[in-house]
Amino acid sequence: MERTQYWLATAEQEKIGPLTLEELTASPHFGPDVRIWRQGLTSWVKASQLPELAGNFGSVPADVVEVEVVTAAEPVYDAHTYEADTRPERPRSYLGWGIAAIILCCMVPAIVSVIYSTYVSSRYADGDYEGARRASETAEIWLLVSIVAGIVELPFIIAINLFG
Amino acid sequence: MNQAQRRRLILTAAGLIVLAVVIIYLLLPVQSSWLPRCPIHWLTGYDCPGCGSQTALQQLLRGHIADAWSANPFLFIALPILLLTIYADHTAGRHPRLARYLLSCTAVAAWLIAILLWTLLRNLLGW
Repeated sequence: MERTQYWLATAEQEKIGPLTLEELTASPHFGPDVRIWRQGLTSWVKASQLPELAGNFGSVPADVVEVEVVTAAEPVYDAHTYEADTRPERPRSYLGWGIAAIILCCMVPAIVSVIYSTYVSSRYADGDYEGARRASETAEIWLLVSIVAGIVELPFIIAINLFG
Repeated sequence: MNQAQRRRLILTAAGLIVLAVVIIYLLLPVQSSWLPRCPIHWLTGYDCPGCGSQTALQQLLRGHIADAWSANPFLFIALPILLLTIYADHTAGRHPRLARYLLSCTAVAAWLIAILLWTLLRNLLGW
């Protein structure tokens, strides 16, 4: 079996690796709060959260943390997974649902929802995470408005077809 | 209600609605007058980008691919991309690059231009 390879992120956001477990613990950057990634993790974690490293920081491991393990291939280690970890998760933009509502029901509220979807993307890209989150909530509300409007409208448009 | 319960509730409701729609579409004849009619078409006489979707889905469920295509060809191209966009939106943490491309402002602009072009084409050229 291949030896597990570790990567370490310094305080200056610099990636170091691949390292063996021994090289990792010997590194001058190593400490309980240093960010670590190895195969099997969905995101970067603090060194003290990894079961195999917890023993290095006193006899009692830090708070019990469930480390989420996925299949070996994920996440693909590249600049984007690294970048993604230092930022909060992108809020939902509801773009797909909004476009579907526009195409299928020609809903005016869905257009507002899609406009706010673009704010989610652009604000997130600009680092305005709070603004992106608010835009996401607004997009969701307008999507719900268009769904409710569609349900209310349904009996009327059936009536149009039957009697109109 | 926690997030997992909420998600299960939404998925169950969505599944039941899809099932109900499939049954209704199969039971009613194609273009039955019991199906909801597009209010835009009724008001203006013009086809909206989604006009023909119900016919397309009904024909698709009956295995009539060619009839479904002629009812609304745009839907055939748009639907797979839409499903991928929704997937990307919900898995942005796992696939950041996919989310960045499909949810970008360029993608939104492309969608709106495509919808507008399709609406013009079908009404002016009678597609």
